[in-house]
Amino acid sequence: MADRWILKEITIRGFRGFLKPKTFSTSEPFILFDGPQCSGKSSTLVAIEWGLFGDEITRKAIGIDERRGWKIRNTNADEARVEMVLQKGQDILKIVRSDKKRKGTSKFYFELNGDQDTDEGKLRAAVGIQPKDYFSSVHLHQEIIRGLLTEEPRIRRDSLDRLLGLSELRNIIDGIKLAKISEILKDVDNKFGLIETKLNAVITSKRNDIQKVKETGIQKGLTPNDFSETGTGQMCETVKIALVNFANQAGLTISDLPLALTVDEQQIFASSAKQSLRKLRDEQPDLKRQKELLEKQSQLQRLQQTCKELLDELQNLQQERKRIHETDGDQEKMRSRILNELKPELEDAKNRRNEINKRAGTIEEAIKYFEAIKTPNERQPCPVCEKPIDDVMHLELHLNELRASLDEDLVPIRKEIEKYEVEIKRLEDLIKSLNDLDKKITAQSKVLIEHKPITETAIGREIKDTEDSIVVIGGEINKIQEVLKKLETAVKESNQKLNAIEDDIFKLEQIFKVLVLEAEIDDLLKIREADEYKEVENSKSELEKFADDIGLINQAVETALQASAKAKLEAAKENITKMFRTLANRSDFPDLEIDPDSFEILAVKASEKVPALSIFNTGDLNCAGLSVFLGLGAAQELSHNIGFIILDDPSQNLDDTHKENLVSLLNSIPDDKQILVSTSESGLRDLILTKVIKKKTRYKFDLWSDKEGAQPKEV
Amino acid sequence: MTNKEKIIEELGKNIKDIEEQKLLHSICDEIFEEYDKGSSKAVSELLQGKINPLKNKFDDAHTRLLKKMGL
Repeated sequence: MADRWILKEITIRGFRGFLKPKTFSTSEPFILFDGPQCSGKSSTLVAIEWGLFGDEITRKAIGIDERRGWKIRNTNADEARVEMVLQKGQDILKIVRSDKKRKGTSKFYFELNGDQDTDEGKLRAAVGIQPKDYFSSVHLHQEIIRGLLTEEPRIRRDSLDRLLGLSELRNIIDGIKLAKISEILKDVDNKFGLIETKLNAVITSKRNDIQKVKETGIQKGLTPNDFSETGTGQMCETVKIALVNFANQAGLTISDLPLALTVDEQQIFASSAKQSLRKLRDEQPDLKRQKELLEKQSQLQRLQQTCKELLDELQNLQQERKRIHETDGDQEKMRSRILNELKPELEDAKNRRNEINKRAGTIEEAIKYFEAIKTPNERQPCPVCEKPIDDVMHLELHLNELRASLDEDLVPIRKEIEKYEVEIKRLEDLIKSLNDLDKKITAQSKVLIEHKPITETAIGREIKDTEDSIVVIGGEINKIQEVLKKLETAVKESNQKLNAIEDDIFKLEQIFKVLVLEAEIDDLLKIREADEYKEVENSKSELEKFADDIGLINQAVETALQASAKAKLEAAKENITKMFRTLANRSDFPDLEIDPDSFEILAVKASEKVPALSIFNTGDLNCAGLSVFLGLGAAQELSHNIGFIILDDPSQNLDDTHKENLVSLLNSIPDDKQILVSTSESGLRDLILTKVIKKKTRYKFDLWSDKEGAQPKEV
Repeated sequence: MTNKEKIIEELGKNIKDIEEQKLLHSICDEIFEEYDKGSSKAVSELLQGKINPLKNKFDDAHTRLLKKMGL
C-alpha cells in the first residue's frame, strides 16, 4: 500500500449524526462499520468526503440529489469538525476541516509531512482526485451505480470516464467545448460573408444615385457626354467669365476665383463661384435702387393714409357742428332762448299748478276729515264754526267731485311744464356737445398741422397752405412708380444673367456628384486591395488558425481518450466478467462487457450481446454496477492517488448467494487496496467477519441517540 | 505516460511542422496548467482569453472596413 493514500485515522465531532468526538483507527486493510440503519455509519463515510472536499459535496454539481439542502452540523452541536490522517509510504497527510473558525486557526488546513497549507487546490493535487471522480471511483454510492446503468448515454459515458480515470481528458474536452470557439468562428464567417453582400448593396445604391443625378442634369440641359472630366474645365471658365463681366458692368468687385484644373479644384471653384454669385445678387445697383424706392413708396403710402385719416376725422367733426348750428343755432342763441323764452314760460306754468294744488290740498284735508267720522249719518259739527251739519255724506260727495275737477285742470299744466323742461334739457345738452366739438376740432387741427413737417421731410419740399397734402403725396408716389417700372426691367435682365450663371454652377455640381460617385464605386470595386480589407482577412485567418489549432488539440484529446478508454476496458474486461460471473452467477447471460465505443454495458451469452438494462432485474443491475466498479478498481489503472475504496451498504437487492459472492469478490481485490464497508445487514456482516481474509477492524454502531449522537464501538 | 504526453504524442502523428508542433505543445501546456488550477471552466476561460482578443481584432477591422465602404 505504498503508491496511494490509505486512511489511518479519522476523528469526527458534531458532523451530521455525530455529536461528541469519536476517533476511528483505520490502519487495517479492511474496515467494517455495521449496525442498524440510521445509526451513523453513512455519516462516518461521508465525513471522509467532507474532510477531503468540504462543502462542495453538498452541491448539485456532485450529482447526488439527496445532498440538496444537507446540513453539515449536528443540530445539537456548536461545531462540525473532522480530522483525518492519511498515509502514502513515508508521507503523512493530515487534514483538518471545521465549519467554525476558531481564534488563530483556519476553518480548513492540511499538513503534508508537517508543512501546513490552506489551499484546497493543493490538497486536491496531492490526493489527485476531484469530488465527482471520488464518488465514482472511491466511494461507491448507489447513485453512481444508477449512473453506470442509465439509459442516458452521456451520463453513462461520464460515469465510466470517471471510473476509467479519463475525467481529466473529458473535462479538457468539455472546457474546449465551453469556450464556444466554433460559435465565434461562425459569427466571424457570417460577418465576412456579409461584406460582399453589403458591398454590392452599396454599389447598387451609388449607381442609382448617379442615375438620379444624371436625370436632373439632363433636365437642366446637360447631355450624357457632359458627365466627364473633359467638359468641366471649360464650363468653369465660362462661369468665371460670366461672373467677371457681370461684376464689371454693374461696377462691383468679386474675389479672385481659384484655378479649376483638377476635379478637386473644380469643386472648390464651384463653391467659390456660388459665393460670388450670391454677392452679386445682393449688391447689384438696380436691385439696390429698386429696394430703396420700394421702401420710399411704402413710406409715402403710409403717410398719405395717415394724412387722409386725420383730415377725414376733422371734416366729420366740422360737419356735426354745422348740423347743430343749422337746427338750433350756436351756443349763444340757445342760451338766450332758454333764458328769455323757455324758463319764464316754465315758471308761469309752475305757478298755476301750485295755485290749483293749494285748493286741492284743502279739499283733500276735508275729505280726510269726513272719511274719519265713524258714524257719517249722524249730524256732525262743522270743523270750522262747530255748527251742526245736516248731511255729511252729501258734502263729502261734493268735495270728491270738486277734487276730480281740479285734477282735470292739472293735466294740461303738467304736460306744459314737462315740455318746457325737456326742451331746456335738450338745449343744454346741445350746448355741451357743441363745446366738446369745438375742443376736438381744435385738437385735430393741431395734429394735422404737426403732421405736415413729417410729410414735407418725406417728399423733400414744403407744402403750401394752398396745397392738398394728400394729392401732393400721391404725386410723389406716382413719380416713384414710374421709376420702379423702368428699374423692374433692368433688374429682370440682371437676374436672368445671374440665373444663367447659377444654372451653369448647378450643372457643374451635378457633374461633380456623378464623378465623385463613380470614383467611390471604383474604390469599392477595388476594396479587396484596401488595407482595411486585408486587415479583416488577416484577423480572420489568425482566428481560424487558432480555432484549427484548438481543433487539432481537441481531436488529439478525443483520440487519446478513446484509446485510453479502450485500453483500460480491455485491461479490465476480464476482471469485470470474472467479478460479474462470481457475483451474479446467471446461467442465461453469465458475462458482462462494456462496448468501448458506445459505453453501453452489455449482458453477454457466447456471441450474443444485449444491453444489460433490457434484461437484468434490480439485483442483477446492482451486481453489474459492483462488478464494473470493482473490476475497474482491481485493474490497477486508476489515475488518482486514493488507495481505499468505500462500499456503502453494497448488498441492497442482493440475495444470500449474491452476498456470499460479494464477499468472495472482496477477497479478490488486491491487498494494496484498503476497503471500507458499511452494512446494516447481519448476513453480510457475518460473512465479512467470517470469510474476508484481510485483517479487519470492526466498528459496531449502537442505536443513535439524540443525547449522545452516533455511538460506535471498536469490537 | 501522462495524459499531456499522450496528447503531445498524438499531435506529433498528425503535425509534421516543428514550429507548428511547438505552438500546439505550448497551448497544451497552458491548457493542462489551467485545468490543474480549476478544471473545465478554467480551460474554457483560458481559451476565451486567447480567442476574444482575436475576435475583437477582427470586429475592429470589420467595423473600419464597413466605415470605408460608407456603412
